[in-house]
Amino acid sequence: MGRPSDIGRRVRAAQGNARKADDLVRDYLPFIKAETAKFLSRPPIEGRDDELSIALFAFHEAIMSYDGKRGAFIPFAARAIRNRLIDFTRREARHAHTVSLDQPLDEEGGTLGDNIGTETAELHDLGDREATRQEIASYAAALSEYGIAFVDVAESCPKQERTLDACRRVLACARENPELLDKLESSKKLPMAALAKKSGIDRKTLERHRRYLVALLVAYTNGFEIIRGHLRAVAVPGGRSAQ
Amino acid sequence: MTYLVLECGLSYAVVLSDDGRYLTVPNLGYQVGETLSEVVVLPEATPEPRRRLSVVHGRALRALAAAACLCALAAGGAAWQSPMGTVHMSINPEVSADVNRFDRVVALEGDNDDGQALVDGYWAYGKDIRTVTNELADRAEDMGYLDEDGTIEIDVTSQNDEWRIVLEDQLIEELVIHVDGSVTVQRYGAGAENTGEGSDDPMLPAAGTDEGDDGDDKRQEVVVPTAEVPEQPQPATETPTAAAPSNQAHGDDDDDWDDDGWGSDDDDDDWDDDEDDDDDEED
Repeated sequence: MGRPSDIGRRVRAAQGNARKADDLVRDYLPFIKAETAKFLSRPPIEGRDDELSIALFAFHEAIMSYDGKRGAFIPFAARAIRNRLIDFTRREARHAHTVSLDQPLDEEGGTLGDNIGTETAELHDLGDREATRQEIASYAAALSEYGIAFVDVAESCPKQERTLDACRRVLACARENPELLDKLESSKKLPMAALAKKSGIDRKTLERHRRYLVALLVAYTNGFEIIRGHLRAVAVPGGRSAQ
Repeated sequence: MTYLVLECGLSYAVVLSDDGRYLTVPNLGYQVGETLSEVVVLPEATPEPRRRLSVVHGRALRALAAAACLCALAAGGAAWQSPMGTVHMSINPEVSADVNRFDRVVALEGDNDDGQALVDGYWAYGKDIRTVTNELADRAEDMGYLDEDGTIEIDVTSQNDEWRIVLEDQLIEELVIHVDGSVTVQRYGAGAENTGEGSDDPMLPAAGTDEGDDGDDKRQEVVVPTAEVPEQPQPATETPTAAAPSNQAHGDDDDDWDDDGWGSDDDDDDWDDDEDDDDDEED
């Protein structure tokens, strides 16, 4: 753990870079465990207590959102951890009556998930985990050519359903006009004006969610069948439907 | 809804939902390529409501602070404006000054026509009462109300006796010093005060007084040190008094004083020779 005077500098350096933020989380793991232990009134167990994962995520969020004007980082992070643990506890309380797929069914260790067919299982039938992993790596590499990381896409992703539907219409427009996807691949830039004109979506909306749209359109260029297969509900704007 | 895990860090994971949302979620032991039926999607970090809350708190705090300041100002203003007592100054013009607990003048008015003329055009509000009495004495002198042998009378009235006594003493002392003995400063009160040997106040200058000769007069005259130069000792010509060790003894008495030739009045020293005592008594 760095000196107290270093933490502010390290936090600022890590902001906007998820990897660096993760390194900082690793350095402050004892602090995060201590805060979790305060909340649980017992030491958290790695790999078993979801609360520890929530606390790690909360610390990560705190790094990303920290503003030096709001006081020292450590108290700020402690509050963030506590707030997130409270959120998580409330969420779990709401799902208290939900049956978990991991719930053991018999003494032999079988779970509910093992005994029922799921869409997840069907998806796994399409390709094994390694193939999926390789495709995701290719997808990440393709996005990096646009200077985009998955974390950036998540930040740029619309939160409201209406905006998400607008983005789906942009995607549908691009699929109906393959030259727009070709232009995207060749120029490595989103053909903003053409998309706005043909989709009828406000250009500002496109600009605000540019990285998300790029990620979505790249997924619908060559390859990435597994990912496209996963995005079943995106194909038709306005609702979930099979591709 | 299913989620495809795209990226994993120690503290976070990026997942892609089947409806096209990219989400950063806590990594509960996920691995890249894994498909999940559920992820922990925490509510948006809510800086806005917190900021709004803090703004509300901030406004409340600011309102409270402003109220506290107003209360303090009101209390201070009331304490400032409330007279602690009144100083009456009588030369011939008579004036009264209301003085607050900080010894500052909050009102000044003339008690007679001359007093009104004296304070007319003079701004006393907020000034220390000692300054005001000094300046009024100067004004009175400039306006011809106060002659060389004039008299200034000071009287302080207040329900707070301690404050009254202290201020009265201080005013007289200040005036005595200010007028530098050119006039007489008087006060109301019983007993000898500010009169040299009769005064309890060591700060007041000692001077020859008419001690005890006007017991029926409640005003005790304060005679300031004047420019009178003490007379040179005169050769004793009369019968010595019993006062003080002096050269009165001529060697025939039974006391131990100066039986060895000191007592001769025809010596050349400046010592006594009884003249002063006689003068004092005659006074």
